[in-house]
Amino acid sequence: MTRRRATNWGLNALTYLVLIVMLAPIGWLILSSLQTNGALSSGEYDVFSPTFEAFSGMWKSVDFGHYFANSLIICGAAALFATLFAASAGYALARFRFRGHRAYSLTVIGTQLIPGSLFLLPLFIGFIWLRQNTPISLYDTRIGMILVYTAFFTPVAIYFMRSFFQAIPRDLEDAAMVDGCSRFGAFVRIVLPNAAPGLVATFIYAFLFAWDELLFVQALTESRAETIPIGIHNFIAGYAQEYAQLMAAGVVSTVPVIVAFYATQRWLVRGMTAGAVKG
Amino acid sequence: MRRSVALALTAIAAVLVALALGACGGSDDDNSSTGSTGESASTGSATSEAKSFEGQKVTFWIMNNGPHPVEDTEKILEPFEQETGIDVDVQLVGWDVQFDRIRNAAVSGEGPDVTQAGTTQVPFFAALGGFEDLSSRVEDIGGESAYAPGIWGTSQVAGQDGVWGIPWFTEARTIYYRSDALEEAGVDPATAFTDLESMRATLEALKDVKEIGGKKIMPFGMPGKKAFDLVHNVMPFVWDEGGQELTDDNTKSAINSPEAVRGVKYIADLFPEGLADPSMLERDGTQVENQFKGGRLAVWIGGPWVLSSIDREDDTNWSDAARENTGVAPMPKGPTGEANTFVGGSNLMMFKSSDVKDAAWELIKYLSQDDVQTEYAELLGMFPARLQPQEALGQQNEDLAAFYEAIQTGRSYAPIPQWGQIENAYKTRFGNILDAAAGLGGEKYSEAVIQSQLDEAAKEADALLAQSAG
Amino acid sequence: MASIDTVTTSSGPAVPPDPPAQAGRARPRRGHGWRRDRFAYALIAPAVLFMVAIHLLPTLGGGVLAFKNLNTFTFSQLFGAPWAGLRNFEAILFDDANPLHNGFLNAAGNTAVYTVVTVAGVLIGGLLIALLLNREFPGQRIVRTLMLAPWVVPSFVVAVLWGFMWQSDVGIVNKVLVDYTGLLDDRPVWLLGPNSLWAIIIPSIWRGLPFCMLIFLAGLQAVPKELHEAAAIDGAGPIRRFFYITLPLLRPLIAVQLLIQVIYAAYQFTIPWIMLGTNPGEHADLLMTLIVRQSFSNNLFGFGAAASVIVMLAMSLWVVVWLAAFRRDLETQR
Repeated sequence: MTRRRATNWGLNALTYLVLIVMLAPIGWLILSSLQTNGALSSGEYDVFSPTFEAFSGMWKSVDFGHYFANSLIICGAAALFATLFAASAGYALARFRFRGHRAYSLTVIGTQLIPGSLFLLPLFIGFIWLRQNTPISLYDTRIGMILVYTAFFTPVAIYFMRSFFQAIPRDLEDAAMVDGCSRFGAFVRIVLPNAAPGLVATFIYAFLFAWDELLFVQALTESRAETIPIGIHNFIAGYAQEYAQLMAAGVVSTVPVIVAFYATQRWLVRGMTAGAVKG
Repeated sequence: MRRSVALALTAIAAVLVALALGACGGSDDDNSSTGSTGESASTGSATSEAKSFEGQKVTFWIMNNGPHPVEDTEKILEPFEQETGIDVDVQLVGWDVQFDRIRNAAVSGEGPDVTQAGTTQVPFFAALGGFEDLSSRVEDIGGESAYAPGIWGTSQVAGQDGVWGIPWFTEARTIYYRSDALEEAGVDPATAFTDLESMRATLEALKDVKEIGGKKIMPFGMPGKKAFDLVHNVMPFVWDEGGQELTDDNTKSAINSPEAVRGVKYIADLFPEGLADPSMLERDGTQVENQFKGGRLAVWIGGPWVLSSIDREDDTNWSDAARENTGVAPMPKGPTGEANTFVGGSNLMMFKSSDVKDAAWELIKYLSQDDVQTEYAELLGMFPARLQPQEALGQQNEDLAAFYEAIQTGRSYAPIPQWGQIENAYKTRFGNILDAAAGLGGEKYSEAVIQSQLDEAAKEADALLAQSAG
Repeated sequence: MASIDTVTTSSGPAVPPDPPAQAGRARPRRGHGWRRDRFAYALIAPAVLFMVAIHLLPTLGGGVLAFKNLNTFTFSQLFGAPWAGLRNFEAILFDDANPLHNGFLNAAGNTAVYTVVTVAGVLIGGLLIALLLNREFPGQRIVRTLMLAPWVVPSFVVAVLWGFMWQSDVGIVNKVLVDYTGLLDDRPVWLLGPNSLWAIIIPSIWRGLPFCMLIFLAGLQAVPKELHEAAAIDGAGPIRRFFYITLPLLRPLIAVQLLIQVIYAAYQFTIPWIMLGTNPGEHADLLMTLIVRQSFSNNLFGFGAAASVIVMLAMSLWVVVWLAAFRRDLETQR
């Protein structure tokens, strides 16, 4: 009896130790953001008198508000459109064995195999060509980035969404159609509301991926549509090395996704582990 | 429960769609990365010539010139804006990204009207084809004769006629040292850096000065491959030994010649002998500069802007001891008897895609006026690019005279379009050598390592030179 | 044996699906009615349109560029640049004298090591932590939730943070290793030299672990208790139970995680790019940083495209290998 108690106690302690180690870097990030530049460059931290000057200064020394707004708008809109397309396509894949569904599935997966560098430059060239021959200007615009991100993250969203649809029994739509509803009506009025948490979770999932993205925005933007991953570098790229503000910016960049994640955590986790649980 | 979730979703969707549409509907313009732009107040005494530019907007890209680049530039431009009515939008583009940005702007046709560019970059950008040939306008500002030949050369491209970049300001690198550290080491500043041997002896002596005022200090430090100007720091030593970056006809790399190897060896050897701080190699140029200002290095190689920042109260990187005890000396002479240094600076280029070319030219003209040149250069701690103001500034005091001399005797690189890439290749290899020398490279440091890295560098450079349009 | 539903792990490619058929009951065949199909096509139309326009067509364009001589001099011609045939591929794969060849091989080697170590770390670490969390203990819900936090931290923040932590003189890692615990005497340099590969591997494992852990935890919780109890009664200790019951049941999940984590690791770009700069050095230069650098900083776009094609082919080969090894696991999921 005591031996089991001891093992339990030991495992509990180990669990908490692992948790502390995993969370330590995040804690370090937060702690560093509350120091001054001098403290950071010498490594002597003042743990007991934190200062928020990095958090206030970061908006002025670099136009961080611009990057933050761009990230919010671009990632939000792209995640939204990706979710809508994914809801549509995910439903089709979940319910219908239409001709070509295998090929379509494979293609959707296949897109994940393509390295970004392969279609970056053609996209860039495409944008330039559009600008030179049509009134459409996409290079270094938010709408251009939204389009690219939507296309890039829809495949991920499709599979995520599909698992939510699979969890909804067909009988609901069948019953509605028997009552005279069209297929589309059943989809919109019965299935979607039932899948609403899944839609939200898919949106957040796509948003997380988009928020993270660096390669495309680096190549396809210049100054107007840049997002945080590009902008964050400016804290130490200039004359003054604002390390504390860099850390503060890291905190500020993480807050939206942490909040989004934990707010929808239940459904997100459900989507992420969809395949692991018994059908 | 679910319905309200769906409703909330729809509401969020509507807001985001509105934002997205609003975002592409022309509000991209007001997201410039600067604060206020210049006022376009027109005074009643505007000349008839200036009136024709009233209200035009010129977008101007600059790089990190000093601690407050945008503010300083806007200050200089105020009289210009008032007189001509042109609104200049000054935008900051960091040195680490300016190369890609300018290239993208040139190719895509979407960009500013005027941009600053490094002197060694002008040939590459000109070869891209997105820039305006200014040779027809250049007489307005005095043409070729208003500039020293070396500096005028940076506006040209080998093999391509035309004037592509108007020289704006110039800088040359010299030795910075802590006079208090030298004093403690018992070294006379007047002879400390005359040639390569005496420099080494000075550093050896400084090794014993482990700290000053309670702060640890190392004899020498320089950045590694993260620094965009690593090559500028190493090449002077190569030149001192008689080496060259390319052969005279610019067709092959000469970086693996015995002379070049000797030059690189000189600087790399400082690491295993404990004369150079290895932790500086992790940092980029600005960070090491701040380390010198913060008092951690006794000797460092830098440009004139650092000297002028001593007097700027708002530059908080300086420690008191460093601020009061910094001196400059010309770069050491090599066995050939010449002291070599890298001369760089920035030029102004005009984009072909600009639709306000005349107004843009007015801006360039204004920045090329002698008094404006002097004022801006002084503000930044650089030297004017034009001959007369440059001379005048060099006569002001001893330290500035040292820089002036450096500019006159300094060298730059071949004005070929492939230079940027070759510099990148050299930078990687120099970085590897320094890493190895500091014991970080994974291979044991020896002269053979230097030779093999430089051989690789030469191979890469030759391949880049062999690039053609066919 | 309990049937596990089609495995979908949505952070990347997943198994080609079939809609779940109700086990056992013979359903009246709904048939491939034309109207149904049309409806399905309408549903997938927007996604397909975007995919073709922004993903597939440009990829084909990239493939074309791999055969062209697109560099500094020819850049302004864009797609009209001169044809180079197989020259780019030759240079990368076979031409010893060409520095691009060495750079590519070097990056490929680094990427291989990075991938193997990171994926092993993520899978094993994820499994171990999942095992640890698959118990009843005080605060288990909070701990399970908090354990996911590293995955949510954006990659660029991870890179910036760890880049700061790895600094040899003032970084916290060396402070802990040398000053606080005295485990080491010298301060190792992490951001340069051979250690720089570790400097990117460790944060990658740190960030990737939680996702894997989550999946494995769900899988562990799906293992029926009765199986373990029955085996325990028969005298099987925890280790044997793990290898004979748990692991086989988890195999499909491990297989899928293996697939996607390898692809994700092989294509890693953000962490080395932000932490170590555009040129991470010869020990930490990964394939993607090499390609992007040569393409955009050195303007060797033809090379970049050709190298991307080669990398993609290599990844496709991996998928084929994976399918061969794990097809059985996919089949058992009907």
